Amino acid sequence: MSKNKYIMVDGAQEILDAYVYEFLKREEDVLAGKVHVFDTVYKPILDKQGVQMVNMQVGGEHVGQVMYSATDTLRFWDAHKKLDVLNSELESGCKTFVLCKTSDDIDKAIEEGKIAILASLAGGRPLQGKANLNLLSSLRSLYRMGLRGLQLTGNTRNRLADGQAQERTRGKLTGFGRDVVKEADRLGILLDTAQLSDAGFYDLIELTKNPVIDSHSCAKSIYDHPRNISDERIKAIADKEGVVGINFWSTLVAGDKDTPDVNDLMKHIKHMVELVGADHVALGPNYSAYETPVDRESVRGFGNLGPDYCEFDRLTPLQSEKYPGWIDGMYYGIKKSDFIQGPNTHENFSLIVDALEKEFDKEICRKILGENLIRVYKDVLK
Amino acid sequence: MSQKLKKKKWEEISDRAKKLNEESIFIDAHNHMMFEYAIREALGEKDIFDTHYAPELQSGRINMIGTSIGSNSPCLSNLTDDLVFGCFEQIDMLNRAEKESKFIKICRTTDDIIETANENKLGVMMTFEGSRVLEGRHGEESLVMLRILHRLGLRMNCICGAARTAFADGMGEVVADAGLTTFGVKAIKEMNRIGMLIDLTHMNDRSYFDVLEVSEKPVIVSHIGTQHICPNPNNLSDERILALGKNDGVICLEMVKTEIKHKAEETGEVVTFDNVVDHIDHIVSLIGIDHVGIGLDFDNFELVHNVHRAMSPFPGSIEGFYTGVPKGDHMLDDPNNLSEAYVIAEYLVNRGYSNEDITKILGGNLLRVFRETIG
Repeated sequence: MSKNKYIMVDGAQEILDAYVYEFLKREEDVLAGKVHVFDTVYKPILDKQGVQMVNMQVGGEHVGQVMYSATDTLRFWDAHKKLDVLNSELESGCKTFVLCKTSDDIDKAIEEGKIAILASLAGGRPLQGKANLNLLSSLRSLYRMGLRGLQLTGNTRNRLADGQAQERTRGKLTGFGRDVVKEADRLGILLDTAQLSDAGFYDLIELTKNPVIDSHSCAKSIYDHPRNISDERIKAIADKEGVVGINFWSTLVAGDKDTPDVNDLMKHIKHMVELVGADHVALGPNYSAYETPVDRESVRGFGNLGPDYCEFDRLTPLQSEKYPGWIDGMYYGIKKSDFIQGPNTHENFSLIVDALEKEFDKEICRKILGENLIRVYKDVLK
Repeated sequence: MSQKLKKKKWEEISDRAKKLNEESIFIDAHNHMMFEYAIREALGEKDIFDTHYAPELQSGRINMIGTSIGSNSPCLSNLTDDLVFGCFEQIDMLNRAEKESKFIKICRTTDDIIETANENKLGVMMTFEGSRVLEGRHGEESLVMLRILHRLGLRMNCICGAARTAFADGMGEVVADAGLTTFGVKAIKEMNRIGMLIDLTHMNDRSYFDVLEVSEKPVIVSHIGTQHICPNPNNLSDERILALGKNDGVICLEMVKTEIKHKAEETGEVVTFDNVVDHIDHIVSLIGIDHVGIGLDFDNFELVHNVHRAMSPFPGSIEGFYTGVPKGDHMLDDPNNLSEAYVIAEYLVNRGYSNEDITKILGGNLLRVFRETIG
């Protein structure tokens, strides 16, 4: 298959629910070294996807992504829980992935054919501490557990900045947000501007000394959606030697169509390559945790949810009980499929390779499929 | 104290000031007794309101206070980080107080306030200072908590303390320079609809002017000074004062020294309500007499000398923002506590305000705004 010619990176993927729940189910066996559920549950999926490195979201803001945690304290716990899963697997002898903490870790993992994981947060709410206190200890604690990526916001407001659903505030980073950015720079944590409001974005770009990524967004000038980003913003990321990961969500690729496909996606890629060159474009499909069904009834502590529960598109009923089609404070609409036709799941991801090869030469394909993101990851990690 | 201050007892103030105190409805829009009240309850005291607060208010001739029952930080939410729970506990406390007290009456309407005064009872209106309690699940922009708290009696909502809320930013958050959020806009409209008075104290500039654009009802600033007289960053700029005048709202002056006389805590000079009248003069010169009220922000209680800073993890920090450590008594020297509030009328008399004007300042203007908002 064509995918084997490239070192491929998934620039934005939620850690699989199925993996976390399987770990919970078999925690004792994992800790005793009897089984590595990463190998039994997650690796086969990543192998099918054909990726060697993943920017893996181990928590964040919206409830579906954080094991239904409803408060910021629980979101803080959730991120620790997921990092504990990865760390426990490694400590019990799992050899098939590396939780990348340094630039060398990335090189080594890829050289040895292991899955390289860059653990990140999709939104800064887990960092919000006490109501009357803004401390950076939460960021450092997660850093020690292996966190190396931080997307500042979801769509809504948090105590770091405003998200794209809150453009009306024209708010820049907060004082706490600026402190977090400086601390992330100091530690070597990759900053991700996905879902950040424009005013917050330009503030961050000016403040950080590192390249930034927008891990999963499309171009506003190709499809105008509040969740997509302007050409000016794409240029600003390129000027910082950063990278934009193209999102595979139907709504963002071509929300006006019933079933957008890979040709619609290519329009965004081509546009960005023309705008800022091939060094600043990558893929952030944002495949979601719920993609793989989970038999939750069999998972300790989750039995009461029942198997039917997870057959919902969890984004819809849980986060948007008010109005269908709303997610995290923004309207996405209800599409026939969340993802574009073609590379709509992990296992069909490689269809994008064929589409890219039709359009670009090998060198550009190599950059978009992986090299660009690896370059930035290595730039930022110490 | 470098200067000598001759404080007047009730018997010593002029007959005119006495009469004004007795005949006006005197409203203090902003008060923090619930913090100390909660501690007294935790210590097992009984009949707390009638023992400690009723005598003070009666001595000060105050008819109603707006008291904070919830906020952004533990100091105003029954000492807990669980702000929602703390707020509901304090509402319960007030309701129990109303049952056991001879004086207290929880005011939900303008008529309640007037009746309370006529019956020689003491009115308490539930207010917020910081509205994180209302936020609900993030991203959902639910107005449920706002409506529930309205049903429970909340009638004034000071949307911001120092820090960020889902609705707007406080003045501590100067860095982001953000305006009202979409949720903030919805909440303003809902407060207009259900009858909750909006309080813009502590709100940052952009959000402040955003609210005045969105709100169809008058708003208040419940406890503040003016920057023209005292350049404290918390205080109101002339631009803000003028905008509030257009909105037909009311600005209530407070008794926190640093916001009345610049650096008074450092210089140690005497600061009295006479200095507050400088602020009142300035506001009146800009927008007229119909937009001035009283909101003392008294927080220097027997058990807790500075409520706002009491639960602070660092000295001088409020909601994560450093606001300086007060030196000595941070309340005005005269009146120094609520029991001396009767002297306010005397100061106004001495500065040439008419009886009609003084009645407006002591509560008449606020009553007008209450009538137009909470009903």
